[in-house]
Formats: sequence, C-alpha cells, structure tokens
Amino acid sequence: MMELLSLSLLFLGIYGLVTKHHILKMIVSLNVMETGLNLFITTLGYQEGQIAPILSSQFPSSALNFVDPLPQSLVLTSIVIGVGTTAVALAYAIKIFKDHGCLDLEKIEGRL
Amino acid sequence: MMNLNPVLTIALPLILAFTKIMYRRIANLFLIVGSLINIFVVMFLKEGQYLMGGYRPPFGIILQVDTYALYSLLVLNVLFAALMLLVTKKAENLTSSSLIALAALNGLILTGDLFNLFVFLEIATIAALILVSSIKKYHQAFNYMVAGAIGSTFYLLGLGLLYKQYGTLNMARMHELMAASPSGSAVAVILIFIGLAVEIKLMPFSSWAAGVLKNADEWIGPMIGAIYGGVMMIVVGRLFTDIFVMDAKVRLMLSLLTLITLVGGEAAAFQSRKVREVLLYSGVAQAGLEALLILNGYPAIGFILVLSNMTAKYVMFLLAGYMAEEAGGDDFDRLTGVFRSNPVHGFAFTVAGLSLAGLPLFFGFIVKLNLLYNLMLSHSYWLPALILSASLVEGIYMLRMILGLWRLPEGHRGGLQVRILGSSHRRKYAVYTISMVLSLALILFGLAPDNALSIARRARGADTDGKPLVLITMKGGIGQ
Repeated sequence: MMELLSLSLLFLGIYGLVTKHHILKMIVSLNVMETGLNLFITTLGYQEGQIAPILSSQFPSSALNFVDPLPQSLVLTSIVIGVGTTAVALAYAIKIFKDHGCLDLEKIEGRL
Repeated sequence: MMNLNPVLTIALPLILAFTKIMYRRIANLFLIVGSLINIFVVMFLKEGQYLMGGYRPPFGIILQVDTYALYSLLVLNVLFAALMLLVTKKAENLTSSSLIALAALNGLILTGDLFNLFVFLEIATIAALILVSSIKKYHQAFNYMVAGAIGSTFYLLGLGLLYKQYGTLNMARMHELMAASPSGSAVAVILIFIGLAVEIKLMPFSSWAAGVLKNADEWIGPMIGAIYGGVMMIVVGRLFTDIFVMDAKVRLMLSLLTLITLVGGEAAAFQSRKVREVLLYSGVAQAGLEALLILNGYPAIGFILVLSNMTAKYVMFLLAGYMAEEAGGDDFDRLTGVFRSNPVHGFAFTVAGLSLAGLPLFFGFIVKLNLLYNLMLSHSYWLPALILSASLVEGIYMLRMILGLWRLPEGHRGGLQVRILGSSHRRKYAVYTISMVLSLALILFGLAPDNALSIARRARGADTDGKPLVLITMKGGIGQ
C-alpha cells in the first residue's frame, strides 16, 4: 500500500513538471517527485514487525530483527542531492525573473 | 613502475575545487594543474579492483580499473585538460564547478557500485548546470535541470527495484545474480535506460540539449556536447554490456528508441542551417547509433565509435563556438567562406567533420567499415542498410556545411573577414595546436587503426554475441 502511495506521489510530481509552465510550481513538483521517490525507496527496506537498525543499550546486538538499513542510507544521500538541485533551481528562478520579469516559461519562450 | 590509486582522479580535483576558494587569484592555476595531474595519475594506473575504506565487495564500494575504464579515463582527462588550457579566462568563475565535474566524470567511469554511480551522476549534473549557466540562457538551463531531475528519478527508481529483487548494489554481484535469474528485472532495466537516455540525448528525451547546445560557446559545446555525452555513453556501455542481462523483447524495445534517435537526429541535422544545430543533431544521431551497437552485441565497435566521435565533436564544437562568437551567429550564410581567412581552423574542422560522417581516410571511416563488415558476417542486413543510409545523409549535410564554410561568398575576395580568435595570440596558437593535434590524431588512427581497434577488442571482449570481433586493419586486410 505504501509503495503505491509513494509511487502516486512520484507520478504526481512528474505530472506537475510536465504540465506546469510556472517555474516555482515546477520546483514544487520536483520536490513532490523526489519525496515520492524517497518514500518508495524507504518502503523497500521496511519489514513488518522489525525494528529500526540502531544499536543501543536496549538492542545491543545486530543479530536482532532490524529492517534493511541500506535503503535508508540511499534516501539520506538522495535527500542531500535533492536539496542541492532545489538550490540550483531556485537560483535559476531568481536569474530568470531578473532577466524576463516573469516566471512563466511559456511566456518567456514565446517572447524569444 | 609506479602504481597509483584511481581514487586520486576523483579526490584530487575535489580537494582542489574546495581549496581554490581560499586562493581566488590563482584559480586558473588550480584548474590547469589539477587537470594535468589527473592525466599523470591516469598514466600510472594499473588494472584491478580497488577497495574503498577497506570493505570487501559486495559490502563496500570498489573502483574498477580495466582496459575499458583506463582508455576512457585517458581520453576524458586529455580532452578536459586541453579545454582548461584553451578557455582559462572564461573558466575563472567556474573553476570549482569544472573540477567537481572532472571528479564526477572520473567517478562515473571508475565506480563498481550502482548507487555510487547515481551519486556521481547527480554531482556531474549539478556541476554541468552551473557550467551551463555561463551562457546566460537560464530558462534553457532550467529545462536541462528538469530533464536531468526526471532522468535521475527514473534511474533511482529502477535501481530501487533491482535492489529489492537482488539485494545488492555491487555491479559484479548484480550481474551474477541477474545472469542466474533475469526474469522480473525488465521494468527496472527499462527505467534505468530511460534515466540515462536523458543524459546521452536519446529522442524524445533530448529536447533540453537543443536549448543548451544551440547557444553553446567554445566552453560549453565541447564540455556538454562532447565530453559529458561521451562519458555518459561509456557508462551506458558499462551497464548494458557488463552488468544488466536483458531478454530479446527488452533489447528490441530499447533498440527502437535508439533507431528513432538515429533517424530523427539525422533528419533534423539535414534540415538545419546553423553550424551548432547541425553538430547538436548529428551528435544526437550518433548517440542513437552508439547505443544501438551497445545494446545489440557490438560493444567494442560501439566503444571505439564513442571515443572517435567524442574527439571529432570536441574539435567541431570548440571551433563552432569561436566562429559564432566572432561572427555574431552561426547560420551558414553568415559564415560562408570563414575558413578562407582561417585555413588552419578550417582544416581541423574539416577533418573532424569528415571523420564524424565516416568518410574514407579518417578514423570514423575505419570504425564504420569494421562495424558493417562484422554486421554482414553475423548475417544482419537491415542494420547495415540503415547505418549506410544514415551515413549517406550525414555525409551530405556535413559536406554541404564544410564546403559552405570554405566557399568564397559572391563578390568577396580573400574570404570572409572573420578572424577566429584574432585578438589573442596566445589563445589563437593554443587553439591551433590543440585542434590540429586532435584532428591529426583522427587521420593517424584512420591510416593506422590496428592498435586502437585491438585496444577496443581487449576492452570489450568478444563482439557479435560471443563470436570474436573480426577487424579490418591496414596491415594485411582482415584479422582476428
């Protein structure tokens, strides 16, 4: 179920990216898409009834039933990359607004 | 003989990229020294697997140096260093991004881990986005960013599915598991191919390239059009030859995409009347051909075609960028006769163009000759017919463009008075030297292709579904 929900979020983001022309809406869609993807990868490592892969005084052994920690580390990296991409996208948005006075890609390309 | 660790080709540019922030005045020096040191490191690499952090595969990340990676690294680092030498003034504000791009591109070729490859892919894309912003076409750069983000999402989605099925991210282990049980991985492999199709400019995912490369200067053209495109194709060659196991239906589906790209790219280039646009669409068509060969069991010829096209496109985009800058545009009418007043540049551009089109005497011709011969040997006839038709179209538009750039405009004597790099002697001679050396290399490998072809065979093993690759060489005709 979670897989389907996260995939819906991912495709919703792609839909927004493909159909919207306003740059800020596209950046929001980009983030929705990335969130959907990150959720999907996290669900890949999830197993019913198992615990978070953290060693503590309560759970001192790695032989316990941990969920797969690898997807979580992939998602961590993916989140960092997503932040970088969003920062570059917002920097572009500022530059585009300064150059063209609007953020609608259709209008900008129509004027050129 | 010295044996250096390949991680240096990634770590050194990264260290320099961040150290440079403290020494802005000598930023260019960092760039030139960094890229030259990388060539030195590559020359002293030995084949083998290098563990990162002491963890053995499949648990830790490894860097894989084989013949394929070694020669890919050599071409990448030489072309990159040459570009840094040529356009140092423009590179001043982009030193860190350029060095990060170099680190990521080296990482893409070397890594033996599929998620690590995603990380390098993203770093390379973000560095490219910053480099592309130097042409001041921000909305085009934004389109590139959106396409790249969708591409990397598809790649990661496919990778997630593969991990779910096989439980590993190590490339070699993934190949073993896929070979033992390939069913159920088709969707993941298709998603990964679509993700990479954005970067290698396959149609219909190549629309971003038109916006960026049509406006590319002497810096962005060779970097994005030749170096990035070539490295991404080398990655595709690695994944779809050594790692993924595909059934015939998936292969056919992906091949259709490459065929559409080949035909569509050639048609668009034929229609175009602008130099950079012709180069862009010709590059798209060549990417289709290269991917077609990789997918259909001809990785050695695909590999050598990638390296040959990378060099030819590099020279052409570089000179086209300078021409467009000096003449204020790149339409054929504006540049008619430009080579009359710039014969050395004209010679280098002509050699690269003819090699790209696969005309005799040049390296591109030898590569295509070997390709057609091997296709005929494996009783494949529709593919040679298609490649010959595409090469014919490419030959026509390439000759039309080159002749136009040499032909005297009506009423003019002595050629169009556009001096490529007339204002800077140092840069002028640097461009002379580098474009001439690369174009002469295309002639040299065309006249004596034996070594290059045997390296390709060694790098990619047997072609044509396990049969040995038969090479047509200049020494004594046909040899195995």
